[in-house]
Order: sequence, then C-alpha cells, then structure tokens
Amino acid sequence: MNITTRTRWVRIGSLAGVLAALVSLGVSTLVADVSLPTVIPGIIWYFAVAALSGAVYGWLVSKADHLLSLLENVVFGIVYAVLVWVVFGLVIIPVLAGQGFQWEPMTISAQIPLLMLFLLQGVCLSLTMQSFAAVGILRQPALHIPIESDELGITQRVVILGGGFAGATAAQHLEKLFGEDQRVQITLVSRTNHLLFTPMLAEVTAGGVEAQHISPPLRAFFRRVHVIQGEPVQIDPTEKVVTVRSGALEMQQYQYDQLVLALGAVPNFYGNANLERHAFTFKSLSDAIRIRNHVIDILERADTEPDPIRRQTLLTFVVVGAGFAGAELVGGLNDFVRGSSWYYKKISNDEIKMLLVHPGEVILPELSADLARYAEKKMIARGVSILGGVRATDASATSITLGAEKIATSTLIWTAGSVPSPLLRVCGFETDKRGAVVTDEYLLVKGYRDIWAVGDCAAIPDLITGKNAPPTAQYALREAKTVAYNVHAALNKGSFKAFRHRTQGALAVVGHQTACAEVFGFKFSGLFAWLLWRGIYLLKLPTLEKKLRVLLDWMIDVFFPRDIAYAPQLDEVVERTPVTGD
Amino acid sequence: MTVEIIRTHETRLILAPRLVRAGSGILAGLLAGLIYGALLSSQHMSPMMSPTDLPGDSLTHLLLSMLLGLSFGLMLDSQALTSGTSLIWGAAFGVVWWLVGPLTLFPLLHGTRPDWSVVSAQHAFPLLIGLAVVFGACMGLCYWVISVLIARRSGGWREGVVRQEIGTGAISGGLAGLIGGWVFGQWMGEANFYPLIAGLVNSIDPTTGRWLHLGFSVVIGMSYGVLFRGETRSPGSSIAWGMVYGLVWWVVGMLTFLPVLLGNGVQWSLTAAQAAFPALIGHLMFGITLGFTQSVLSQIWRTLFVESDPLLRQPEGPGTRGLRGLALGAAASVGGGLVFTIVMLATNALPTIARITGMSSILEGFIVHMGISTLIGAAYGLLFRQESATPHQAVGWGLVYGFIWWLLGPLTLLPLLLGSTIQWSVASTAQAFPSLVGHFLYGVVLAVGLQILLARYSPNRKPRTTASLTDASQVYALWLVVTLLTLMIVLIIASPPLR
Repeated sequence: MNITTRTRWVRIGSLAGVLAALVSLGVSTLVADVSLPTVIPGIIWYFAVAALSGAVYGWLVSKADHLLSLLENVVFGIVYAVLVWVVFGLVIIPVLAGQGFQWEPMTISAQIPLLMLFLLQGVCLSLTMQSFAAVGILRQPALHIPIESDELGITQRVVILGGGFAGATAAQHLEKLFGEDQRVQITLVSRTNHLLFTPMLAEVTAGGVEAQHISPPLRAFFRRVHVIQGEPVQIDPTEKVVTVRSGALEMQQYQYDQLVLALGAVPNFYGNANLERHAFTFKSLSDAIRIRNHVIDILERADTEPDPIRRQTLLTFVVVGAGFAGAELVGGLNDFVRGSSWYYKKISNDEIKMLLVHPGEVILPELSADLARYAEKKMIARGVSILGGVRATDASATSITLGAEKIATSTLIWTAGSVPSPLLRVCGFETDKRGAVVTDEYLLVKGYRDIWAVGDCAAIPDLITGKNAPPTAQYALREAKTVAYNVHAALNKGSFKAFRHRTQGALAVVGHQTACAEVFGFKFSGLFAWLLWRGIYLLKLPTLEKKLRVLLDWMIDVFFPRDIAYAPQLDEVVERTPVTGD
Repeated sequence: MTVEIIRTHETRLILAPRLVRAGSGILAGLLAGLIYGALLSSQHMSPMMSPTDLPGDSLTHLLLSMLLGLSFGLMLDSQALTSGTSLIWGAAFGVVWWLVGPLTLFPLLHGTRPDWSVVSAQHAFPLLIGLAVVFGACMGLCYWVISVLIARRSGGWREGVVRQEIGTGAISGGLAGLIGGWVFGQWMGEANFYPLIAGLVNSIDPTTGRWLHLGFSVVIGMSYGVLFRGETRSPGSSIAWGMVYGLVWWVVGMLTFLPVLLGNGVQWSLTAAQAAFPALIGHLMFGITLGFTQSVLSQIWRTLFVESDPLLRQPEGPGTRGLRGLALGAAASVGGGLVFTIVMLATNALPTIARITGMSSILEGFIVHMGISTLIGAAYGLLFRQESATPHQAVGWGLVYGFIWWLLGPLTLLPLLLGSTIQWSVASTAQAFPSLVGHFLYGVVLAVGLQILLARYSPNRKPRTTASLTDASQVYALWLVVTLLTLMIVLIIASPPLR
C-alpha cells in the first residue's frame, strides 16, 4: 500500500498554500472591490504566511484518522482560515508593524476584508489538497493502515523475548520511538500475559494484596505492540527466526530483523535434584499463590494434628536465601502465619517456627552492614530465627539438611539463587560462568549485530563500576531504555548509546510497618523507610487502576485481618486442547 | 430503483446513491423555501427582502431554494446524519451561502463589485438571519425527515430502538431544559423579560411569564434531547451542540416567532439584533447549560445501564479515563495559559483578574490567571477528552472551547466575581471582545497540547459500546457555525449601527 509520509504532506501543503494564495488573490482582485494594498501588508508577507499556514494545514490533516472528504476539507479550511487570520492578521502582523494589539470590534471589523481573503484562501487551500489527493499526489498517511492488513508494508520486525520488567519496558520505549510508523512491527513474546511487579510479590504470599492487583496485563500497556503468550524454545540467528511454543502442541515461528533477549532467570538449585523437587520456588505469581495456599493448608492440617512432633514439622517454615526476595518473604510470611494463627484454636504462637537460612554473615548483603543488622534485629524480635553461615545440602518432603543438621519442615521455600534462562546456552550464545549472555556496552550480544540482551539474562558491563550490571529491576528498566534507543538507531542507521547507570538505592520490607532503605546514599529504617517503600513502589506500579487497587488493599489491610481462604491457582502458559478434525 | 440505506447504529443513516441525495436535497430546498416564503409573506415581506438580495420574485426564490437544496444534498457526500447535525449542517450551509451569495455573487449580478466590508455585511444582515438560520436550518431538518421516510420505506429503520431513544432523549432533554431554563431565568428576571413573555397569553404578569418561559425551556430541552440524541457522546460536544441550538432558538424564538406572535413581525434587522443581543448571550448560555446537563444525565444512564454490561466494557474504566483527562488537561493548560498571559499583558487585564481574590498587582493577576487556566484546562481534559483524537480536530474544538469560555468568563462569571451584575449588553460585550482573541488562542493551544499528551494513551482499538461510537465528521458543522457565530457577533457589536 502506498503511503505518504508526514514530511511530504507538509511540503505539499506548503505548495498548496502558495497556490491557494495565488488563486484567492487573483479572484479577489478581479471580483472584489477591495483595495488590496490596504488589506495586505506586503505581497511577500502574504505568500510567506500562505506557505507556512499551508504546511501546518498539511501536517494537521496528515494526522487525521481518515483521509478527509471534500466537505470536511472545505469546512476545516474555513475554520482554519479564521484561526490563521486571528494569529497572523490580529496578532503577529500588528506586533511586527509596531501597532500593538487592536482588538476592539471597530478595528477588527476593519480587518473583515482581510478575513474574507483568508477565507477564500482557506477554501482554495482545502480544494487544492483535495485535488492532490484525488489525483494521487497525496495518499493515506501511515496512521491509516490497519495492523492486520495483508497489504501492510512491514519492512522491519523487532521481536522481544520475555515480558518481564526489561522486556515490557523495552517494548514500551520502542513503541514510543517508532510512533505510528507501521512499517516496523514490534512483537513481544511472554510466558505470561501480564507484567509481574516482583517487589510486591511477597505481599501476595502474605495476603496483603490480591495477586491480580500487582500484575497489569501486558496488552494494557501497548497501542500497537503485538503480544504473544508463549515460550521461546529455539532461536536461529542464521535464519533470524524464533520458534515459540504456545500451549502443549502449537509451535509458531517469528521472523525478526532485530531480536531483544529479555528472558530473565530461573531458580538455581546447583544441581541438587531433591532441593528442586521439594522446595517451592518464588519467582512468579503462581509460586506466590502456591506458597500461600500451602501455608493455609498447613495451618488447617496442624490444627487437627494430634501428634506434637508431626505438628511441629508442619509449623516449621524454612526460607533459604537472605537476599531481598528471601528476607521480604520471610517477614511477610511470619506476619501472615502468626497473624492468622488465632483462627486455629489448637495452634499456639510458640509452636510456629520461621527460619531464614543463608550462607553469609549477614542478611541483605546488598544493603550496608548496619541496615542489615537492623533488619536482623527487627526480624528476630518478631519471631523469625536466622541461621547464617549454613548451606542447604539436601531436602525431603518433611525435612531440610543444613550441613550436619537436619530440620523437620513441611514448607521449604528456595530463594537462594537464580540462573539465566537455559535457552541461552542451548542457542549457542557466549555466556559467562553464571550463564548470562555476554554483551558489549551497547547491549549487543557478542558476535551479533542484530541480537541484544537485557535484564537478568544478560552480562552487561557497567562502565561506572567496571563490573557487570547487577540483575535487579532497577538496572533492567534502564537497560531496557538503552536497548530500545539502540534498536531504533540500528534500524535508522543512527549511532548507539552505551549503557550507564548509577544505583539509586535499595529498599526492603522486613516486617509489619518496618523496612530498611538506602536512597542516594541516605539510610532510613523503621516506619519512615516502610512508608518510603510503599510510596516509591506504588508510584512505580504500572497503570493507575492497579495503583488504586493496591492502595485499596493496603487500606483494607489496616482495618481487617488477612484473608485465610484459599486463592485460586493461576496458570501461566495455557495448555491448549488440540484441535482435531471431525 | 432500489435504494440502499443502511442503518449503522441506533440513530444514524448513511445514504448511498447520489441521485437519491440530490432528489432529497431538491425537495428539502423546495420545502424550506416554501416555509421561508410563507413566513415572510405572512409578514407582507418578499423573500427577496434586501437591496443586496437577488433580483426577482418568489419563483426565483423557489428555484434558488431548490438549487441550494441540490447543492446541500450533494455536498453532504456519504456523511452519516442525525437529526441534530442535519439541522446544524443546514444552518452552516445557509451561512456559507450568505457569504458566497449575498456578499459576493449578488453584488456582481447587480453590476457592482463586492467590497467585503463590514458595512455591506451589516446591510445584508437580515439575509444572514433569514437564510442561515431560518431557511438553512429548516432545509437541514427537512432533508433529514425525507431521508428517514425513504429509510422507513426500504426497511432500514428500527422502530423499537428509535422509540426508546426518543423516549430517553426527551426525558433527559426535558429535565436538562428545565435546569437550563432556570439558569437563564435568573437573568431574564433581572432584565425584566417576563412581562414580554407573558404577552403571548395577553398578560403582563411576570409569574405567568416565568412559567411560560420554563415551559418553553422544557419543550426546547426535549426537542434537543430528541434531535441531538446521537451527538451527546460526551459533555464537551454536548455543550457545544447545546450552544448552537441556543443560537437557533434565539433566531427562531426571539427574532422570529415571539415578535410575530406579539404582532410585531419578524425582527431580523441589525438594529433588532442589537436590541436583542443580551438575549442572544442568554440563549447561548441556556444552550450550554442544556447541553451539559443533558449529556450528564445521558452519561449517567449509559454508565449505569449500558456500559456497565461486561459485553460492552471499554478497556479502561471511566475513573481512569476521567482522572487522566483532568491531569493531562491541567498539564496542557500551562501552554495555553502562558500564551493567554501575553494577550492579557497587552490588554492590561491582569490587574482586573487579580481583583477576583482582592489583590491588584500584575504578578498576583498572573498567578490567579494561571490558576483559573489550570482549572479550565482540567475541565477541558475531563469534558472533551473523547473529542480530540487528532490535531486538526483539536484545532476545531479548541476554538469552540475558547469561545465558550469567553461567554462564561469575561461576559458572565467575571462580573459576578467582581461583585457586579451580569451585563450582556452590546457595550459590555464590545469591551470584553479583545479577550476573545486570547480565548481562541488559549483554546487551540490547550486542545492541541491535550491531544499530543492523550495520544500516548489512546489504545488502537474502537470502543465497543454502541452508545459511545463516534462519527467525527459531524462536528465540522458545529465548528463552522461557531466560527460564523463569532463573525455575527462582530457585526452586531461593531458600532455604530446602521441608520
């Protein structure tokens, strides 16, 4: 389908303006008894205004949502002419002539002949543009082309794998950069149809917010990004094709010209099959709900368990890993379990054991030592036991082994490490020892000119620290913005921008109305830090609707106890029933 | 010959064959010409009533009417029509014809060259009123009725749905008319207008006049609700439609039927228009109130009983859209406010604005002005956010909004806030006229700014509710009438009047 670029509309509009000025001047000279020198300050001025107003007219109608009909064009030409008369005839020209604004009705009425000239010019302009459209000099602006049209003149395809922070943000920025240019198709492939706001995931497990309130649908973000729910299973850099599995059977292939890898990371069990089998992971919304339902189930069972040893096993909860995820989870879980225990008459608070296990000396190694110690103190005061300097080496359905010690537990949650998506190794990209794909400072995957990587799956050199950028959401968002800029530059033969970012800070909630925060080097703790955490993350939560819903959840949480009803389990990649013939 | 007329949704028609449109236009023009001629004949006036009019007699007038009707029918192309927009297209067509015919072609036929001056426009003023509003609007309405009759014959008209729409439109319009009439009535009471109205029933009692006025308001409101039921898609557009409908009723009521019923004949001269000028502003304000209220009532109905249906839900809720409109409108108002500040500095209006809050300096006036600008901008974002999908629509709506706030602001609210009374006279309007330029510029900058900001959020999909389907092309008639209304006001208030 032929399209006319906006620049061409503007140029043609300018030409049409000059032609219209010529025609209207000629008609009024021949027809009207108007002394043109008294009406027009100067012929050059007149044609300059006509060219400029024609150009603006062309720009305006090029952004219309349909090619204007004759009537619409003429009417808009008349209305537009009045505006041009106001701007030039009543404002700019008198000011330039040193006369000042003279807008009294009597002085304005003296400008009526000029207005009539402009009206005539406006009609001529609109008719000229209409004629150009009729003979094919002007065609549909790119805006008009429907995305699903078979005649779509797509010339470039950008495919983004992964719908997390990095992938979704990259897609948003790409959409903004490419605007309405329908020649570029942007496709986002995601395992889920929503963006998971991970900072609030622990609150879902703890029952503080509803699961859907922290997961805005991906399709709500975009105007024209094509969202596909599926899992990438193969990348062919030679053919530039990505294979995506949607459901159990469907495999679809997507061509790309530029590919962005934002595949994130998966839990790392360091090769321990028992840990993998018996531990809950904590990466997705399903994980959070699964844990919560399990905990409620445990409480229900413990309430009717007569054997004290078995009851103790049930009421012992172990979280392995004391980074942000583990610390926030154990704090939230502790509040939830202890806060709900009064529903269960046979369970006493003393029986509940909440353990946080980690191999280091202090929890929250990302924070400074004094904040970490503060967090430990607060968590211990609220009933959390912290076992430092130990590693989990084995697990069963009812226990976890920490070196020489075995602890009986029915709830083991693993947050102790993650590894980038295994797809990267399978596809043969160069990876570091963590398994992250190696990129240069422009986020280009090493050895490729059309594959980029961002987020947890990428090893990106941080030009400020000299190390690799840490796999955090803060960095993922900035990397996404840079990669979008660079992809746009790649398709438009522009120059790339290197990734640079200085950490702004970190925040962690460790219990009820208690948090630790380091922001731009300033340290906060306690209630203020908690309010800071809530305020910052509420602002960062996408979409106004979700912000309001979470705010409402928090307000309800102030007045009412946490809900102990089971939450419905969410599915991620939907297993589709195969379609068979008759 | 089979006529294919398709009903797009509840209230609109699309006319396909050009021949049908031409025939309908000719018939509509003839009918309007007959009505127009009959009206003037009853006043012992010729349809060719002005020295600048076309020479000839009633037959010439009818032939010309048919020709105008033919042009009208063909020019509407394949536009979807509602009753209200057809009426306004007719009025707009009439005004454009006034510019082309009496001001340009007729002088040539008289052997003189048109000078396009305000004096010649003032001489042709009666034709503006007669042709534009009475003949033009009448032709538009006749055209729509003919189209409906054709549609009914070919089975493209859903009676049940139409009856329901008319019912809800009449109820909401009637209520809105009552409220608008009460608002307008405040001024009418102060201007001692009620005895004049009471004269229709041979009384001079103001109370009788007040009740009559309220009765008329309800009827006008009901007619608005019925005629414009397809156009009240948002409070913003409804405000504008209501305003031009108020203009129509100023001409039809104040200048035509009221004096005729009082035995004074039609009052279409410039002098009569100047005398009735305060009532023009009052009618415009009535229309604004009517349009806004009717839209709010309709919107409440739609929200509760139509758009709450899950099958008809939009991707974003009204809360999200409304709050976004408010915030972005306020943001866009900064540009408009700054542009208007330049105008206010040039006209030395800032100290006057400062007096609203008891202050007096230019800086204080600037702060008050920017505060007001923000509120007005936020209101635009809330009321008009559905209208400006593209920049050229934003230009049109910006001009309309600027004009509305010129009526509401300097002419109405500012005197009240400064402790004075409403002065809708020619003199006070002339005094406030310079600020109209500033309001236009403010409106355009605000509207285009909002369109640019909102463009980030508009999803690339059509709204699913049939009640909120839009057909942007109808607003061209509205913009044209408002633009030309401004020119009419210039003619009326440019003193001295004709002798």
